[in-house]
Amino acid sequence: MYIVCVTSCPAGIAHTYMAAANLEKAAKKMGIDIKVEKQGIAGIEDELSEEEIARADGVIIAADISIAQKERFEGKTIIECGVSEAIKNPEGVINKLIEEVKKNV
Amino acid sequence: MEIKEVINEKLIELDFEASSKEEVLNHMVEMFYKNGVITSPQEFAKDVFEREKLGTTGVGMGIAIPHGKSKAVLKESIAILKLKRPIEWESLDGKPVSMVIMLAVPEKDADTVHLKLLSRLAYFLMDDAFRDELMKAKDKKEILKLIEKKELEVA
Repeated sequence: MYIVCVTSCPAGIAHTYMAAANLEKAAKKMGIDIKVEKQGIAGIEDELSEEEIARADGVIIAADISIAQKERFEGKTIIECGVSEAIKNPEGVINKLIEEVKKNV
Repeated sequence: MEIKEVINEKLIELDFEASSKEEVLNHMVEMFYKNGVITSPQEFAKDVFEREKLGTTGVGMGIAIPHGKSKAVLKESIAILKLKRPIEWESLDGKPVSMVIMLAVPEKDADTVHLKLLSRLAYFLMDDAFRDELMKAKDKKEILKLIEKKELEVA
């Protein structure tokens, strides 16, 4: 399983990065490959490549504001949640995506 | 890149006694003001409290990370306040807060390198080992050293 994520919050200073950290930490624990793009105050960090998006089984968008370049994920299995949800319960968010991915197989 | 460009010992205080979140936020705003980070405590406080309204900055595990992007901020900075007794912060995990890390960011033309230092600290705080060490640290120098060491790991 390989998933890609985008995190973003209104100020783009703190929550964006904490959500990314916790999604990465949870994925590692669950044995899932992950890449998280941070859309923060300093711009886009760890930007997802076309190849990475194409290869991903699913996409998590953890954001409290609308993210840039959402159209990149057209046709993918996507779940969306608030950025706090990804900080608080990253495993739950990832599990929700896994269930969606299984449904769409 | 030196962590000292965004935090110093004067922006760290230990064993602060507070009874409310508002008291903590106002005290940290004063810390920034006394250190020449902001031009107006009233204006910066307003922006910090506005941010609080958008959703909790109590991210769980005993820490809170309030922040403000404000016209009153002259340079990107971090302040750390450790509390003598944990206080209620409407945290994501419902637990009281014993360490508060406040971030100050200018509204315009912020220094990208400094911003990355600030956001990386937020990222590092989710690392259990790093957070535990910070929570246990007993003096200011030790706190600075821990942050510096962590920043160097990824530099």
